[in-house]
Amino acid sequence: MTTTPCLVFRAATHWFAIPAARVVNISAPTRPVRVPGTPPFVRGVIASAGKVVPVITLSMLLGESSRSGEVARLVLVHDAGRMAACEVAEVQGIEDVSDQPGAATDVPAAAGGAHQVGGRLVTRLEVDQLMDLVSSAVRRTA
Amino acid sequence: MRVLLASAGEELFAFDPLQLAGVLAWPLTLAIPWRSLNELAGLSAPEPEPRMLLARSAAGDVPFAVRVPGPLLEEDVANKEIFPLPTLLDAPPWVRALVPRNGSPALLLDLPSLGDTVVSLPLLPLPETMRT
Repeated sequence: MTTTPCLVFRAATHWFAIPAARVVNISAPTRPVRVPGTPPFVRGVIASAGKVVPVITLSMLLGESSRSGEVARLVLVHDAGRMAACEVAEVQGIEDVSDQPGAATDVPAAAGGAHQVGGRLVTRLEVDQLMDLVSSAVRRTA
Repeated sequence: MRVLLASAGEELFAFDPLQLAGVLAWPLTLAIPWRSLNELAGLSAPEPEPRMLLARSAAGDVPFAVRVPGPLLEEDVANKEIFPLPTLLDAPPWVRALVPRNGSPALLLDLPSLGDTVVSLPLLPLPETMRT
């Protein structure tokens, strides 16, 4: 069985895993600048490493109706030139997560399914699907 | 680049003075399309010293005005300190760029594009008329 090192973190009440190779950095949260005309899951934008990056409330993007308010870290992820900073409540660390399909989940962008990692049920997110989800969600709002 | 800064509560907006036809005191007395920046940006910030920014729309070259909270400040910003927004966000065309300003960031707005939005909305009566 093959595995991929993933960053495991909690956003609101759910635990997620993102392939570590897609993580640019983890930083302390800074107040983003709100951008008019964007949906509620877009908290705003920040400047990071000479680029403007949208700050995403992951839990809202993935289906929760309100923001939990608990933000301890920003996890900056990238895919094919697209970048986003995800608000997370808690970072567990890097864990190996199976590449085999996990348990079915209704979380969007979670083709990898849900896996048991360190005694927790963790939903594996694929960053390309996450970016596509952001893109389609902002276009629905525009 | 010289920018004109207007704060709206916790938010800070920047404008290019070269896109401005003028700045007027509130209330507006010209019968032209106008809106408040608060309304356009979805904010409810206090407007301690409201000012009207006059400009022309991009599409039809139509004169319009935007009420900004004030007070207004002018500041020089290096072009390399102006960062365009990512296309991922699909922000409105009148949101041009982010100006980080050493930790006190501002959104640079494009007045002609903002004018396209203002002139596309129903015409508001002059403020004096609204008060009566």
